[in-house]
Formats: sequence, C-alpha cells, structure tokens
Amino acid sequence: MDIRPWLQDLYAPAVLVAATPAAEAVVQVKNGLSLVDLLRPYSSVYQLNVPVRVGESSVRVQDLRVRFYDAATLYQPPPEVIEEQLQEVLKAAAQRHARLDPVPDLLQRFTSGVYAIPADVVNPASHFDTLVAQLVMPPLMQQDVMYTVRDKDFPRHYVLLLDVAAGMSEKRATENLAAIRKLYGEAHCSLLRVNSGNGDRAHSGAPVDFFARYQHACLRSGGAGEPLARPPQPPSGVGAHLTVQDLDSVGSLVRDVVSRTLLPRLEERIARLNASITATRRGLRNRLNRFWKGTAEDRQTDRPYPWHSVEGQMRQLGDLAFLLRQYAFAESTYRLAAQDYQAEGNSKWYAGVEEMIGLCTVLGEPADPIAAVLLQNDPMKYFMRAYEHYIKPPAAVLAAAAAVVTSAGGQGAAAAAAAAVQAPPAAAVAASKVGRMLATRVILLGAAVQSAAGRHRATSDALMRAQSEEENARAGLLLEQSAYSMLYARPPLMRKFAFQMVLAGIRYICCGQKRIAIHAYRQVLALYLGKKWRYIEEHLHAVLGAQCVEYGDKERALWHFCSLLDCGHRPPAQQANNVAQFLNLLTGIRDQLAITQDGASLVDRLPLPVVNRHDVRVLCSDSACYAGPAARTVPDSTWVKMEACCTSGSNNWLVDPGGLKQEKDHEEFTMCVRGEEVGVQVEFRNPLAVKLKVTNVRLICSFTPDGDVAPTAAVPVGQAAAEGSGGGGGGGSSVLLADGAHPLLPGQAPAAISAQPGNEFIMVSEAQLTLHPGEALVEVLRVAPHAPGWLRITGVTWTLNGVAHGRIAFDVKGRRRKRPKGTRPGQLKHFPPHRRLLFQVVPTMPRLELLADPLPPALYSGELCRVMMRIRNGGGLPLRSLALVVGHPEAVVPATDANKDRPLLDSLTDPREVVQLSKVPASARGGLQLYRLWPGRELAPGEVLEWPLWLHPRGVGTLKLPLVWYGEPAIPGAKGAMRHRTLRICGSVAVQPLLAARPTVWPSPTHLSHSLLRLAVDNSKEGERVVLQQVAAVTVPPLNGGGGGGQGAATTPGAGTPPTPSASSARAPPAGWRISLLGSQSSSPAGAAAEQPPPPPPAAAAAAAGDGDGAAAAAPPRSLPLAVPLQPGESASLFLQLIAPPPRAPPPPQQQPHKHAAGAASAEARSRGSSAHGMVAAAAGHGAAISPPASGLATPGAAGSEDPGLAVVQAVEAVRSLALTDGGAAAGPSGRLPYVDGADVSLQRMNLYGPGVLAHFYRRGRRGMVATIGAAAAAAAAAPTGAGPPGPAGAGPRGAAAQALGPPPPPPGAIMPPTLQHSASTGGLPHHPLGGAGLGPAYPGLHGPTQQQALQQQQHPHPHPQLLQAVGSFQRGTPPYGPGGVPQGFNPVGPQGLLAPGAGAAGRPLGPTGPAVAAPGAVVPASAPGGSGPGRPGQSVPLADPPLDLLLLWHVAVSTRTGPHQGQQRIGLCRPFDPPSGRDLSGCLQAQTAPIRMLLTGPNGASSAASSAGSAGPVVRHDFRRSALAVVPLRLVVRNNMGVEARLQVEVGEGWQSTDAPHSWQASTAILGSSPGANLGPAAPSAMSQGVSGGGAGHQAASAASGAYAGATGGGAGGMAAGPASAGPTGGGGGGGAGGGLGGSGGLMTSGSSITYQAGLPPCPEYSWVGPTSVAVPRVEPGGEVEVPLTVAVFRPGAYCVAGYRCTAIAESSGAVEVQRGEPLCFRVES
Amino acid sequence: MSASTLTFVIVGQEDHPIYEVDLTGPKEQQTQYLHQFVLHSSLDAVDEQMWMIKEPHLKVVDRFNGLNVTAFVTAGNTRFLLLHDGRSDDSIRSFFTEVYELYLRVLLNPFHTPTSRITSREFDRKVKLLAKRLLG
Repeated sequence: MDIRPWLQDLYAPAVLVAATPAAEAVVQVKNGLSLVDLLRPYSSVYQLNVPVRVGESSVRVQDLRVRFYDAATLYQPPPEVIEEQLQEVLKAAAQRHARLDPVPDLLQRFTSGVYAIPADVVNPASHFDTLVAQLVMPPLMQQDVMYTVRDKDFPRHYVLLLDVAAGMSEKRATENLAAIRKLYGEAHCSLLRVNSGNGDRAHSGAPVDFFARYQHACLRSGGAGEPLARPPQPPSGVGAHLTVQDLDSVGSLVRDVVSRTLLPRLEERIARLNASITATRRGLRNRLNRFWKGTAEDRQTDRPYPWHSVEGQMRQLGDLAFLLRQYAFAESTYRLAAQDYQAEGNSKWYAGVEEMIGLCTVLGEPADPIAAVLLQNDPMKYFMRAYEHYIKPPAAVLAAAAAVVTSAGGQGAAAAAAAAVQAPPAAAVAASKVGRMLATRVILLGAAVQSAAGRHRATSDALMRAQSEEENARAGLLLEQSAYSMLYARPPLMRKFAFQMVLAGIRYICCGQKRIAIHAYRQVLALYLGKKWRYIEEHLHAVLGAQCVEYGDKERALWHFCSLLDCGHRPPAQQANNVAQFLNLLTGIRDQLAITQDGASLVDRLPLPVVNRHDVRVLCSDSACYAGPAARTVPDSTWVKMEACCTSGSNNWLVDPGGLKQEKDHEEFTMCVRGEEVGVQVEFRNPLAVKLKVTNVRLICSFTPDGDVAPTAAVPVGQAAAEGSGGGGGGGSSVLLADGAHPLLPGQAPAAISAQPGNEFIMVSEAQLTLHPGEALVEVLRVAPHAPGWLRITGVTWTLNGVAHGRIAFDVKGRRRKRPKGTRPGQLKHFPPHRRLLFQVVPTMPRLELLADPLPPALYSGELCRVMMRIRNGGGLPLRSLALVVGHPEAVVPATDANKDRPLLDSLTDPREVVQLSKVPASARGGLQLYRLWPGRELAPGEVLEWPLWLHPRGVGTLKLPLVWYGEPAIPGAKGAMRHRTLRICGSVAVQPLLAARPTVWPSPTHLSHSLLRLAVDNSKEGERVVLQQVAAVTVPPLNGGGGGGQGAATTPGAGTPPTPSASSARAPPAGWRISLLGSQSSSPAGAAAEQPPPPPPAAAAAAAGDGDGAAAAAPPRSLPLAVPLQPGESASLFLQLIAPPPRAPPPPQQQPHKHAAGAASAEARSRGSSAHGMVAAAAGHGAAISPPASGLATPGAAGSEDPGLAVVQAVEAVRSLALTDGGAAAGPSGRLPYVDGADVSLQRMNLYGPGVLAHFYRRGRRGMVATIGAAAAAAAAAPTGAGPPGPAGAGPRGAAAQALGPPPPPPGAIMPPTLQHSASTGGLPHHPLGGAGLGPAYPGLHGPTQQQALQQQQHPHPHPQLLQAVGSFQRGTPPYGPGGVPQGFNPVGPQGLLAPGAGAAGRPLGPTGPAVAAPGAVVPASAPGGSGPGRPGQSVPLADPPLDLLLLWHVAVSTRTGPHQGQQRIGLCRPFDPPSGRDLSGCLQAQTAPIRMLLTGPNGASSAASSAGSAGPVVRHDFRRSALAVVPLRLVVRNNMGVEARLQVEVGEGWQSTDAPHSWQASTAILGSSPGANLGPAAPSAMSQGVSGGGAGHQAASAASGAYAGATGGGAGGMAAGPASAGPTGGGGGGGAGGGLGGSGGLMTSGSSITYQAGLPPCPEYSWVGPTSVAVPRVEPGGEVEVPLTVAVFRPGAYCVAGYRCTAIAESSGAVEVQRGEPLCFRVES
Repeated sequence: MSASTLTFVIVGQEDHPIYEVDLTGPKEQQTQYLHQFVLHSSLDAVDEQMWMIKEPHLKVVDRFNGLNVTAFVTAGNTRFLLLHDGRSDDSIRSFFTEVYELYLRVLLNPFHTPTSRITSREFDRKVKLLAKRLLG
C-alpha cells in the first residue's frame, strides 16, 4: 500500500474562504450549503501544467489539491472539545459497529485566501476591503506566527457571486468584475454564477449526496475548519438550485484560483523566502554567526517564532516546498531550521520540523520499492524524535507561560495567551494536552508509515508507546490499532493481538465506551476460552457479564456469569457474590431452557453443583436384590457362586453362571421389576465455599410401555415423536418412532424439564440436598416404573438455590467391545450391570427384603452369638423354595426357628437346635453352606420371616459374612422373566481378641497312652472379666477313618435310640479322648494304672471292657467344669491330663486296616453309667451328625442328613443321654477345682458334643494325626551334633532290614545326666504343686519329649504328599509344621554324608552298604517321596489316637462394653492354640507322639521316663551271699501309637547274640507264656537266646556302647558299628572276632523256667540281661499296648542304669519300619 | 503488594497452563489477571524466539510495562515461563534447568499426558524450594 497519496492529501495547501454575509446567503439560503461546501468538491485540480520554480530548480505542477476553509472557523479547538468530539465519534461508531474515522486533523497551514462577495454589490472593491478588514483572522495569524492575510503578497482571489435565480443583474456583475479586475489584477478576480436551477432536484445536475461527503463533522465549539453548525437544509434539498452549469463554473473557478493566483504567488513567495534565508542562514559565515549566537543564548522556549523572523521564514519555506512536493528541498530547509530550533531549545518547533523531515523522507523517495527504501532510511527515527519533543511539555510550558506573562503587554495580547496568564496551570495542562495530541499525531503518522511498509511489529511498538500516556479513548483506539497490526504480521500474533485488544477494551471501559469495549472483548473471547487460563477467562467473563448487564443483554450476561460460577480459587466472599449475581439475574426468567448459545442451553451448562456424570452407579434389583451398600461392594463372582448353590437345579452348563445374556438391540440392559424403585447413585459436589441448596433433584427418564401391537406401524409419526420427546409416552401403546429414531436411544433426552414428577407409567421421586462448602454427597435418586416396558435413564436435573435449573446427561463409561455391534454408544461399549441405564421393566415379582441389619458391630473372638434375620417378602407375589446360602464357615443356621425367642443358653441346649446342611454342588463348594428352609411353605407378600443365625467368629479382624437368601416365585412367570430372586446380604463384624490359650503338651511319664497338658489362658488387656466355665476334650474322628462300618448297628442298645437306627448307627462313635485335672485323685489314675495289670492282649475290645468295668466310676470325663475368673490382662494355667481312647476293635474283614470299628467299645460305653455313657453317646451322636462333606463318606451319610427329622431325633437322643447337670458334677469333682467362683451351672449344660450348632463349628476338616517313621534315625543322628553314626538306612532285602537297621544312638547332647537334665528342665516348665507321688517332682521329662520332638521335627519334612496337601485344610490355617521344617529336614543330609568317612576313620570298618545307601537315601526324599522301597527316608503313618480338640467354654456374665451387648451375658468358646509353633492342640499332640513308645518299668514302679527325668530310682535289696546274681524283674510296655497294626521286635543287650559269643555267661529264665519262637523271623533262633556278653577287656564294643548310652563317653561310633556288623559279612567278622575272644559256651538255649547259669565271664561289668534278648510280638493293634517282661541280673550292689534295649516296629501293611531306642532306667541294688 | 513479581507457569503443548505458581505470594485480583495476560501473550514471542536460539533457554522474550517474561522451551514444546521484574538471567537459567529435571520426572509418569495438569504436591514443593534457593 502506498501511503503517499494519502499523505499528500493530508498535507494539501489550504485556502481560506471569506465571504460577506450577503454572499454567504446567496449560496446558503437556497441550497443549504456554505460557500466552502460548494467549493470543496472541486478542490482537486488536474492537468495544470504550471511551471513553478522552487529554489534553484523548476518543476511543473501537474495537479494539485487544495483545501477550502471558512476563515471564521480557522482556529484550533480546545483539547476538551476535541476529546468530546472523539467520544461522539466513538459513540457513533459503536452504534453502527463500524470502523472508526481517523482523528480530525488539528493543524492547518493556510496558503491563500478566497474572498467572495455577491456579484451585484455597488462597490465591490470597498466590499472586499471591508471584508478583509473585518476578517477574524486565525489565531496563528493573529500571533504573527503565520504569514497574515493582510500582507499584500498573500495570494488572494476575488470572486463575485451571481445569483441567477435571485435575478441579479448580469450587467452589473460584469461591470463589477471589470472594476475589481482593474483593481486587483486580471488574473485574481472571477465571477461565479450560482442558483441557476429552479429548486427542483430532478432538474438539478448534482448527485444527491454530492456535497455530503465533503461536509465534515462540526465541533461543539466550532473551529478546526468547520462551522459551528451546518446551515439548515432547505425544503427542496441540499444543492437543489445548482445546475450542472453552476457546478462546472465552480470547478473552473477553483482551477483559476489555483493556476492563476495560488501557484504564481507561492512561487514568488518561495523565491523571496529563499533569498532571505540564503542571506541569513546558509553559508559558512552565517553558520559561524549562528554558532556564536547559539552559544551566547541558552534558553528553553516554546515561544512561537513570528513569521517574519528568520526561523519562521525557514519553516515557511520548508512548508511551501513541501506543499509543492519539492521534498528534497523542503527537507534541507527543515534540517536547517531544525538546527536552529534545537539550538534554541524550542522543542515544539523542533518536533514539528522533525516530523516534517520524516514525512519528507517518506514522500521524497521514488515510488518503486518503497518498503526496501524505507528499510534503508527509516523515517521512524524522525517521528520518534518528534514524539520525544512533543511530549516534553510541562517545564517548558510553564516557562513559556511565564514568558508570556512578562511580555504580555508587548505581544499584542492574544486570547490564548491571556487565558494562559490567568490560569497558568490550566494553560500548562492544556498545552501539555496539545503536546500529547501532537505527539500522538506523529506516532500515528509513523505507525501508518510502518504499516504501509509492512513492518507491523514496529507499528504496534509505536502505537503501544503512544497509548501508554494517552487519554483513555484515544489510547483505546491506539491499542486497538496496535492489536490489528499484530494480526497483519506474518505469522499473525494472535495472542498478542488478544492481549492488546483486551487492553483496548479496558481503556474503552474507562472512557465509558462500553459497547466498543464489549466489541473488543468479544473479539478475543474465542481465543481465550477453553485454554484453561483461569484468570484470563474469569476476567473476560466478569467484564463482559457486567457490561452485558448494563446494556440489558440478560442472556449473554447469564452465560458469562454462569462461567464465573466456577470460582473455587477465589475468596468466599467473592464466590458468594458471583453466585448471588448469577441467581439474581436469573430470578425473573421463566424459561431457562430457551437461553441457548451455540445450540446448548444454559440449563445444560450450569456448573453448580458439580455432578460426576461419568461415575454413576445403578442400584437396581434384578433377580438379585441387595441389602445395603456393603453387599454391593462384594465382587459379583462371590454372589454368583453362592447363588449357583441354589439355582443349580435350574441352570445347566449352557447357561452362563452370570445369568442370561441380556441384550436388546445389541445394548445390554438390566431387568427390574414393576413397582420397585430403580436407584442411581449420583455424586454431587460443591466446589465453592458457599453453601448450596439443591432441590428438585430428579432423574430424567424416558419410558416406553410394552405394546401388544407392532409398534412401528401403529403409531403416527408426529404423535409418537411428540410423546417421545415428552419423556414418557403419553398413553399410547407405544412411543416408538416410526422413522427409526428410537426414544430409548441415548442422547435423546426429553426436551422438557419442567416439573413432571411422573405420569401413569413412571414415578420419579425428588430429592433435595444441601451442600456445605467443599462437600461431596452421593445421592441416590430413584425412579419407580409402574408398568412393564422399557425404561431409560438419561440424566439428572436439579434446581440450584430454588432459582437456577440445571441438567446433565449421564455419560457412562464402558469397556470397548472388541467387535462393535453398531455405531451407537450402547453398541460400541460393554457396560457392567451397575452402569447400564436401560431397564426392562417386568411384571410384579416377589422380593426379599432384609428388615434390619442383624449383625452386631463387634464380637469377641470365639464368642457365640445368635442374631435374628428378619426377612420380608416385599414383592407382590408369594415366594416358595426359600433357601439360604451362608458364605462363611463361622456362621451357621439352625434347622429350626423354634428357639428364636428363647434365651441364648436355652436354645443352645435345645435338642432341636441342630444344623442341617443341604448338599452343595461340587462347583460351588468351598466354605459355602446351603440351607433349605421351610420346605413346602410359601412366604406371602408382606410376610416377615425371622430366622436365627449363629455366629461364632474364631479369627481376629473383620468378619465378612456374605449371605444369600433365595426364593422362587410361587407362580412361575412368563418366558424370559425371572425364575428366582435372591437377596444378597453382606454383614461385617469386627472380631476382637479376648482369650488366648497356649497349650504345652508332653507325654505322660507314667502312662503310655496319657499326655500331659499345660494350658495357659491369657485374657486380653482390652477384654472383660471372663469366667472360664468348662474344658472339654472333643474327639474328632479323623478324616481318613471317620466312618466306621455299619457293624455297630446291631449292638447299639436301644433305650433311647432313634427309630431310625440305621442312621444313628451308621457310624460308630470313636472312642473319645478324656480329660482330667492333673493331680486330682479320681481323675488322675496314674498310680492306679500303674498297679493295674495293663492288658495288652490283642483283643482290644476285651481290654476296653475290662477297663470300663474296673474304673467306670473313676473314668475321667470328657468335660471338666471350671470356674476360673480372669480379669482383663490376667492369665491362668490349667494342668490337665489327656487320656487317649482305648484301642479299637480289630478291623473288619474287608481290607481296610485302619478303620474305626469301635462298635464293641461303643456298645460297652452305652451300657456304662451316667457320665461316661453320656459322653460316649454324645460322641456317637456327634459322629452321626457329621455331614457328608465333613466326613468324606459318600452316600449313606448324605441321605441321612438330608432327612430333617433324623437330625432332630439324633439331637434328642444326644441330649437325653447327656444328663449333664449331675453327670458333669459327678465326673468332675468340683471340690478339687483350683478356683471355685460362681460356676454357672446352667452354662455347664452346654452341649459341646451334640449335633447342634456348637459341634458344627468344630467338626470339619479334621484329619488323623500322622507320624513319620523310617528315616527318623538318620535325621536324628545328624541333627544335633557331629557324633552321629553312619546312616542306618538299611540296604538289602526287607527281611534283613530289621536287623540291618541299627538303632541310632541318641545324640550325646540329648541324653544328659539326670541332674543336669533336672536343672535344665527347671527353667522350661513351671513347678507344679499338685504333682502326684508317682510322678516324682512332676517334671514329666523333657528328655523324652525333646528327643522325640527332635525326631518328629526331622520327620515332618518327609511326609506323604497327601499330608502336605492336607495341611492346608486345617481349620484355622495353622499348619502343624513349622515353616522351617523343610530346610530343617534337608540340612542333615550334608553332615551325614560328611560324617560317614569320619566314622570309618575311627577304625571300624563300616558295612559296605551303609554309607553308600545312606547318602542316596537322604537325597531321595525330594525326588521320590512316594516310593516305598527300602532306603526311603521316611514314611508317614497315621497315628492311632484320633485328633483331639480342646474347647474352653467361657462366659462374660455382664458385658460392660457399649453397644448391643451391654449388660448381656456373652458366652464363647476358646480353642488352645500354640502360637510359637502355630499349632492347635491336635498338632501339638502329634508333635509329641512317636510311632512307638516304650516305657521300661523297674521294681517298685520306677519307670524309665521317670528315671530319665532325674529320679534316683528304686532300691532293690538283694543278698549277694545267697545268690551271686541279683535278678531284677523289669517290665517293658510298648505302645503302638501308629494307626496300623505293627509287629514288634524287642531286642535287649544291643542285639548281641550268643552264637557270636559262645563262651559268655548266659542266664535264661522262663520266657513268655506264648512261645515267641514260632512267630519270630529268620533271626529268631539266635534272638531267642539271651546272650550275656562277657566283659572282656577286648570287647569294647559292648562296653563302649553301654557307656555311650550312659552318657559317659563319646565313642558311639564303635557301639553303632555293632549293629550293622551282624548284617554283613564284614561286620559279622568284626563282631565275631570280638565275641570270639570270650570263649564262652554259648549257643545253648534252654527254655526252662528256672534260671540257669553258664560259665563264662559276664558280658557287661555292671549287669547282664537275663532272658530272651530278642522278643517278637506278632501283632499290636493300633493304639494297643503290649507288655514285655524283661529281667536283668546284676552281680554286685551299686547303682545301675539300664540301657541298651530297643524296639523295632514293622508295620506290615505298609512295610514301614520304626526303631525306637529305649531310655535308660536307673535303680540301685543294695546288699 | 509491593512484593516483587515472580510467577512461574508451565504451558503445555496446546497452550494450556499445566502448572502455575506465584512464587512471591498472593496478589491482587487485577494483578493476577494482568500476569496471566502478559504470560499468555508472551507465548507469541516465545514462538518467534525459539527458532532463533539454539538452546532451550530463551532469556527474556517479552516485556510489558516493566514485567519481563523469560522462557524455556523443552523438546516437547512445553514452555516454562517466568514472569519477573528483571532478575539475573543466570539464576533464572539454573532455575529452569532444575525445574526441567523435575518436569522430566513428572513426564515419566505413564499417566501424565502433555496436557494434563501437574498436581503433584511434591513437584510443587520442590519448585518452590528451588525458587527460594535460586531466585531468592
């Protein structure tokens, strides 16, 4: 864009027009135009070709434009007026939103004058003279700044106006013209004919608006070249009287003026001025002159230079040259002047000159590549210089004002100066304002130039600079202009544009131009919105909102205020203000939905409160109803699994367990039932610090009722559409749309949100909520469909603070389908059930409801609690086939609700309170219990069912109890309807610890079948006062042998037997463990048992009978009453004796060796007296009640327990036989109890054994105790210290294994001197004051237990695989084996292998196979644990004793806890638990039980266990004079703890055989009554002989061995070698060599009954075994005991420690071999 | 309010401010407006400058009425802007470098998208700490 024409126009020469009033009237009256107006359209003159000489050069002026101004208006208006005018302009612009006009030009420079008078005046010359004389000159001329009009050289043109229409005389005019031509010169006078028209516009030649665009706006005070006001428009219109001829003559007049008057005169003047200036300024002399002068005067002045001064002349010359477009000349002149002005400090003049220089540089360049040239020579510096000097003002202005004051008189008193005198500050302000305007003008010029040059950044910079100190309106304009220039830049600087536009808007607001401000803001709104610049958006909305309000644009204001509502980062007061102003504005508006912007309604955009539209959760009851929110948090898979228990009949494998696939039109839906509410959880959040009241919260739903007819054809389109948009179908059978648009599709929310709480089909309930600051509420909104059909929920609507309506559509997120079914959102995604918003409403169904959450908030661990479930049928149909699934084993449901109103204890002891489980399909097993309740009955609508539920939490923590109630509608619905309904309940109970019992078990030192138990019971510190009420030993039939045969049925005596004997006798009751307090006479039959002839015959039934007959009254009970109070934090210890049940009957003929067949025992027990009878009977009942899953037995049990009547009968029988009130007291002598304190008798009636709920909790998952045999020796040998023997894992054939297996010597560390043992054990066990006489000091022997335990722990790592699996099923998840078991078991391999060479180095050759096999044998367990061949390290065998559970009944008399239990009695059961080893009692027992246990009893009842515990042993008196050999009878009792039959081999004397030492002393006595020889194996002949090893010095083997057992020396390796020696040739040779030295006459075997002596040295210095050295017991049944009489002979008095006997047990069924080393027995022989 | 100006903004790829902090305490509302406007408009300048300077630190890219904007452009076209009143460029450079380290850690979060706001308290705390240490 070339800016130069514009600039040239702007700086065209101005012509002053002065007319007499008469002349003015000539034009004005008829045409409504002033003379100036008439002239202006012709101000451009072309094709002049006038030669003009400027300076030294001469140019031809081709065309020129002049400007005409009325002389009277030529003054500068005051700044205020200018500003007002600007405002007016802006207002006008704002009205039409147009671009703004440029700022009016302020400075004019007049170059010539035109004088006009009417043509018909008499004396035209005088008229002209008076006109000139009366002319009010422009201010500058008055101040002599400007070359005045009065000067004679001023170019003047005289015009006579001839009004044709007024009838002016043509002749007169011509005369006058001639006259003035004579006077003023030929060229300077003209005659102008006007008004030749007749006032008709049609006749007139001028276009309609011909003059209008030359009429500039008038200022209020006039000035600036325009009149105060336009002349009134004549009735015929502007210029109506002007014809084309008139206008043509005007044009020629102007041409005359320019060519004949203006240009020649200007040329003259330029020449004159140039000469003058050349004389005074140019040249070296003048320059020096001025230099001196300049230095002389140093002043600051604003004083204008008069026109005749040199400075003024220079400026004039420059201006004239500029006007004539001699820019080079003008510039040089200006530069000359600039030096002067600057030197004189006249900043205004200097600035003006600089400005002109800048213009000259712009205009003076050749037209071609203006941009390039401008880049080289930037005029901006001149403009900026001018700018700097223009704004310099105040000091200079004040100084100037002062100068004016001083020189007021002499200066001719201009009006402006006078004003300045009167009010200098005001003048200064005005002057500074003018200065600012000038500066702005310069900048505008500069900006225009830059913009034209394409440097928009520079334009913007200039404008930004100018605006900063400008007055608001102008600054706004400048900023706006600057902003636009940013847009012109490449690339457009949008963000800067936006910023400057906003700044402009602010300026416009400040100056009151609000509409323009809004315009400016709106332009940039789109640029900022959505960019998340929070403050920016806030500012824009705040400003626009306020402005819109001001202009009454409520809708837009609402939008802006709505956006302001999200102002959580603002202080609360402002938030409140924002909310209030929005609501106030909205108050009066009715139809808020109609307020839309960009197609979105304000209602949809209301941001308060914040609704989470993505996360809605549907609470709907389809076939499953939920009770409470807790149930919904449980994963669906759990419920499905539980429901599968009930619905297994109706489901098959074709049906997905999750139910039917519910899809309509490929969109998943949920079923709901007519009349039942559908809830949607929606979260409302208040982001502000202002309280919000949200009312009228409702769901937006659409409903389509089910139609019978085909929907598409039936309903007219229009009506259907109307109904569809009405939100719910207005009564037609269907509102489906015919054109395919479906009202149920998402996104078609009903348009109307007005209050319509529902119609005949749906009922939408309203909610209201108050949101406190920052609060988030999850509200459940509901809708209830009243008819079958399809319901879709689309969104939610609400009213904020009662004024503003809000609405939002849900946008539920779903998982994307892999294969989309269609394009609609519902088809693209997969929605889980709780996110589906489409519902099929099905007809009325029954419905289960939970009336109240029955579960208590907290319980103690082990507490027994009964809660009442109240279930109501809330539906419209009756329910049948009620069932309940309990998902936790610690809750149980009784079979009857008869006891629901009775007290807790009563109902517990009620025989009907039994548990009756139904079979659960295998797929759903795993802790689920299914109860079918109320068979055959229906639950009518509205009826309430109360059913008790027993809780017995045993862990600690939170007990989550899922329950499912199930029911089927009594009338089956149509196809596709629900077949059943369930109620899902999930209760949660906090379980707190109360009692902890830690058991410590060790074998009884006196009885092989007894164990001692120390039970430490701790009360929790946070607990309450608890009374221990009862201890009961509950024998749990092991899993693998739990079901006996049916052979016991016939023997059951029938007094109270149920009428269905087959069931009760289906399982014989296992003989239970008994329990007694340690130390109480009647219950600790230690002494008595010792005196009793222990019956070890194979017939166990006979033994049991004998036992029962003998000690019926003294039989220890299975339950002990107690009364031990425990305060919180207290502990108590109970010392108890556990008595294993007697061995069972021989196995039935079928090949089931370890089967419980205790029919005889049970028969005997039933015939027994009260208490024992009760116990056993209870146990029998117990066994009978065990459900099939628990017992593992198949069909008969299942069939039996399905029968509800049977369980009740069993229970009746059990309770009847209980007779607890007297029986318990009689059995347990309560007088001897450690504490007697308020024993609650009623509590003791608690049935711990029956089929009731109590037993239910403890009957599952038991499995038999297991021990590992075989590798025990190897493991034990290697474990403690390094002195172990080579592995005895015998090689070779099985028959030889018994011999080959050397019994491992106990590790040296394990056997300690008695005293040491004593002291060591003191710390381990507390001293028990009740220790009986027979027990010694009641340290029941740490020795045995430790050793055995060590063995046991070594063995544990090598159990059967099944055992490992079984471990996990122990009820409380406490594996009986410590976690360290496996490494413990494998570690010994290393030492053992290493030790083997060491043993060989000891001098004794080892058996060739010993170490060789031992090493692989030790490795085997990992790889082939299941193998049964020789060399297998261990083999687990079941133990004979059934697992034992100990229950401790406690009660809290009055609970002090707050809550529902306050003041109530609480009872519970505690179960011993061994925290260190993580075992329960059964595990403890198992850990303490070796497969074979031996007890060597000497005279006077001294036992080996007791002697090892440290007792000195009995004293035997013998008269050695009478007999050289004192024969001491010993009794060895061996118990087979294994669950299988075993063959025993008892060897004494280290297996020394007489054949190897023929010369040894031998003594033989009568052997056992039965001839063992017949039963013995291959080694029997030699074993029959009893070898008395000679005590030769060379026979270290025997002596060292015995010494080792006495704990004296460490030479165990030698002793051990004797074992294997007999097996192999090498060993045999060694042993034979040893024995051969004795030279005895062995080999003689006598079987007589008298003792005979043979020659030879005694084999042992201390004693010698007498009798058979190897005794075989052909069969010992599981749990059975056998007694082997042994005899030992001593030769001299002294203290003896008898060792060196061992027992080898061979389980025939499995081939397992167990070798047990005997413990030493001490006694003294005195003479 | 005579406190000096120090406002730090991280602008994401789509000109969204993903992190804003006023390091010299709360300001008047108008000042907040102005600061955001200045920062936002300086993005134009950043866009210009980042093609002229090789390193990410662009120094002062924009000025407005005595407010300077110093910028730092990451490789992912995330812009760090610091509005200040004439701090030393060296300290700002080190501040930006340290913040860039922090920002990289935020980016490592797989759930962070280039347009998501940084809401980590730890980030906020560390930025403030850095500002206190490096910018005084």
